[in-house]
Amino acid sequence: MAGNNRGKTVVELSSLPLQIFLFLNIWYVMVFCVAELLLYVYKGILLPYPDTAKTLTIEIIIIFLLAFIEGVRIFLGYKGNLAERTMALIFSVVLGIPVLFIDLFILLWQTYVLRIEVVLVSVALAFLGFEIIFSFAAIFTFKRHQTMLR
Amino acid sequence: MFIGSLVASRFLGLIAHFVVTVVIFLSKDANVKACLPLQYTESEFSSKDKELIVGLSLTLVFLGLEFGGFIGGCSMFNGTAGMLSIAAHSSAAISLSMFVLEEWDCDKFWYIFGFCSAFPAVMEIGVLISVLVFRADR
Repeated sequence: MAGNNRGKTVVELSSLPLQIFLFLNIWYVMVFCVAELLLYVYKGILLPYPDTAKTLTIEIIIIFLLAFIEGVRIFLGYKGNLAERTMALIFSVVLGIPVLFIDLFILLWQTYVLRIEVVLVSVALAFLGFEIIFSFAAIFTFKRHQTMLR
Repeated sequence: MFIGSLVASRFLGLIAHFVVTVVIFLSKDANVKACLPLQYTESEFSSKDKELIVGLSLTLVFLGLEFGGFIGGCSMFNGTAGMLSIAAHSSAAISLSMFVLEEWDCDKFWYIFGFCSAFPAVMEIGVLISVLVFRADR
């Protein structure tokens, strides 16, 4: 009924910086995965791999795994931010942990690490860092506003 | 949706330019040697090396400026600035890739710098001034 809502104002709590980084990160992840796959083609052709069939296959599968997890994480971030849902944002931050380890794998532990991969992963890690920071800020904003409503 | 694609394209162009610039930073010895005679002294090498470092650093500064204006929203939805930025930075990414892969003469860097870094940076400063000072929120 109209009476129940009298005096309340609709306040928008969604985080604009977070939304900007999530939008740009979608495009960056797409280009990143394509670039990594092309680099694996390049490395597979030119460089000797220990047990080519196994090692190279595992590394390519890890890129697809990264693409999948990153897609889910960004979707949850989008949903959580735009719909002001704390749980979705929390899951988005939690999924940032496997993404972090996959990025670190590409940076530190794969068979051959090219210089361009160092730069690409650094940019990806910067994105992840910014998004986690802004996600926490958004979570606290949502929580504080929920408390004020009671 | 067209503006959204423009935003994404511009962002990817800037990132590509940044990535290639850093890669050149990490492997610039070959380019420095390419613009020295076969017999060169240590001082000549370090002079050219310093020159290239200054150029690359200025490129990164200009990219930072453009990122600031872009992410800050001042020129994110400006179609003209967006198109110019996409053209300039995509060209920069391609030509700098050839610069590093084909070990171009380090003096050629300044042509790429002038057209693909300095020019969009000047445009960006113009847009920033018009938006922040003259309130031209077109």
